[in-house]
Amino acid sequence: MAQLARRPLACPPSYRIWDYVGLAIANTVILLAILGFRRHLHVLCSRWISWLHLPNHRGPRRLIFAASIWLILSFQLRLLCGFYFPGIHGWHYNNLMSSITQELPDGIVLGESVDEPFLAGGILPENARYLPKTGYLTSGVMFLHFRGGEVLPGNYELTEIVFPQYIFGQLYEEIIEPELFFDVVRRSIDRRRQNRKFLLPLSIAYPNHMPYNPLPHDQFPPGAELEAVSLWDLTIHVNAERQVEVVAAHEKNRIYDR
Amino acid sequence: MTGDKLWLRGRREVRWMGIFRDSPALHFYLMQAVVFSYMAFRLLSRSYEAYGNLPDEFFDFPRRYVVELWPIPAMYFTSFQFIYEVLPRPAPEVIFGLQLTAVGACLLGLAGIVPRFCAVVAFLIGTHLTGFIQATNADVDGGGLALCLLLVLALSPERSYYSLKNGWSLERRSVDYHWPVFLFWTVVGAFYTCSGLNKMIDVGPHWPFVLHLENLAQWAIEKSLFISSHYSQPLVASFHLSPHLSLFAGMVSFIGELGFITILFLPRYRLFFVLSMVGLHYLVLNLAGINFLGNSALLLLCVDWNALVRKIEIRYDEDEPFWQTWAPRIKRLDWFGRVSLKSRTNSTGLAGFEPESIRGTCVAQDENGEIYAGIDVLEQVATRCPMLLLFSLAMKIPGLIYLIRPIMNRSRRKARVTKAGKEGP
Repeated sequence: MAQLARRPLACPPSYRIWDYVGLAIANTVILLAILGFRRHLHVLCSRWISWLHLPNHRGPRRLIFAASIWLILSFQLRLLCGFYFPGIHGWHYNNLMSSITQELPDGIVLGESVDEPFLAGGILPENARYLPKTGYLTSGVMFLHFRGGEVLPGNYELTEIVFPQYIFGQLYEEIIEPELFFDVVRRSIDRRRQNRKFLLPLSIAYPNHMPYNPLPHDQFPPGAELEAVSLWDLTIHVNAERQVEVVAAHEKNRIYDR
Repeated sequence: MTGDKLWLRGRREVRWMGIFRDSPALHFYLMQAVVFSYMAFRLLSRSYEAYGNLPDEFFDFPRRYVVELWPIPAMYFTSFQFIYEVLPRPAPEVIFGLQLTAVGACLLGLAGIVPRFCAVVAFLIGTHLTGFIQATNADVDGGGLALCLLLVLALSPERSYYSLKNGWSLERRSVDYHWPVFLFWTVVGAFYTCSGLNKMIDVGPHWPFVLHLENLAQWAIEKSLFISSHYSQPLVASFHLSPHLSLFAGMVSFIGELGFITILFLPRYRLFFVLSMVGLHYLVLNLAGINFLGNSALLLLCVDWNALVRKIEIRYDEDEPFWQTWAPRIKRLDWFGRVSLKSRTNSTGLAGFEPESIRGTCVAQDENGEIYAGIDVLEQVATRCPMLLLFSLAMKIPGLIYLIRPIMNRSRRKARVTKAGKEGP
């Protein structure tokens, strides 16, 4: 069997020691419950096994018995079986903070590169009306550069990979595997130009597991003309009328197909 | 059994769904149709070819927040990733072919052409493709429940399916239509209940109080301004900026997840649990940009569709003004002949109820031998009459039946007092 070595992750995991401590506490509670209710559990298990040995419907009985054992074990042992896993882990947003600032963030140069005509394509100003407060917002944006001079917005939906940061690196910071990236994105662009997502029209296709905002697919040139991808930090300002203005744009990286 | 005990039995909430019951085929047919349709839809919508471009070293099962205790995850074996120890990784064209094969199997299974074989093929290919995703980032892609249902179908007898060989009929009854439903509900119930338990383990029983969905809603609106961000629906997010709503949503989700396994024995609350999880998936997509929405179609298979076709026998008090009006109406609205209505004086008793004990009320017994009394009988009638379905759905609102039952009980007691008054001491 080949070594299943853990390569250094481009995006390190976010789990904490508490994930294991929590599991240890839960297993301790389960163990105490088993010890405390052992007589009842003994009766239950005896009935369960007796049910298994009833003479009718033997095949389905064995199947259901095996499935119940497997469900318990997969939770207890945290088995990721491919077609089943023991439930989504616990999550919360207690530490998720708003990104809007009233002052221009540190390190942002007001007016930097704002003359680039394609930057406006990276924002969706119609959504500003839902913002509860005004101020400055900064986020990573990707642009696709084509041989004919077109520069269009892009995102990782084009890779058709779930959690692409584990393949290509931190989102909108770098692209670790550029040749691979261009291969998959070109194929995706060619499909989306035809208004297709794989074999179904975009309008009715089932979204990806981690969908991104819709792109202007009808404007895409052929995928073969894609020659570069640029990654930017775009800073916008939203005023009281919920109008959006690009106030700074910093190009962090430009990757060319080799 | 005494009259009072029978009465309580007719109104109980805990009704074990059973494992080997002679059941109609409708629910199994729906499972077959829904899962094959859904899997075909997924496989036609998403391309897995990109995984054919990835070098071998990317399939190394990196650890992520799914807490894995084992150096080699089980899915290395269960999704047959181990075959690439000897075989070369498939090219994008091969993966394309695999997808088309699975789509073909799903469409054939949907049409009833060798459906069991098609379920096996679709399950194996679907699991293998999911293995590519999990081997590259140890996460899921939202197709787990569909694969579980395909596995249940693959393990079900051939005679359970609608097919060119079996035909189809809603009049047949067999245990082979029922135990696969039980198995599927057990798997789905375990999945969601384990998710609820995981929240208690990873965060604590106070999870709804630290959920802070309003933070996610704010974040979702901010991200929606940038085209390169994950999908979010700012209109939906704008309604979730309240911390009180977050607490309410958290409580509903927590109860819905922890209690989901009770669909096996609390029939009245199935719809609540199903809809709470559908709502959860809807919010997760529109706020966090994670798509489990397709599970909604499978969740809807966790209500008792066979109730629409199970026959029920009713005894009612023909002296009751309500039944004088509604008995003829029900006979007209019973389009499919599922309801057998007999007055108490013109028939023998039912399920241990003597005709005298039915005075002022009604009792019913269905094909499963389940006894219903009072308003619960009307709920069962409404389930079988399409024009009255809304009433049946309303009775599934948690707690509503406890408001209506006292009204029906007063009516029954009044009828007894009136009868006693007329007959004298």
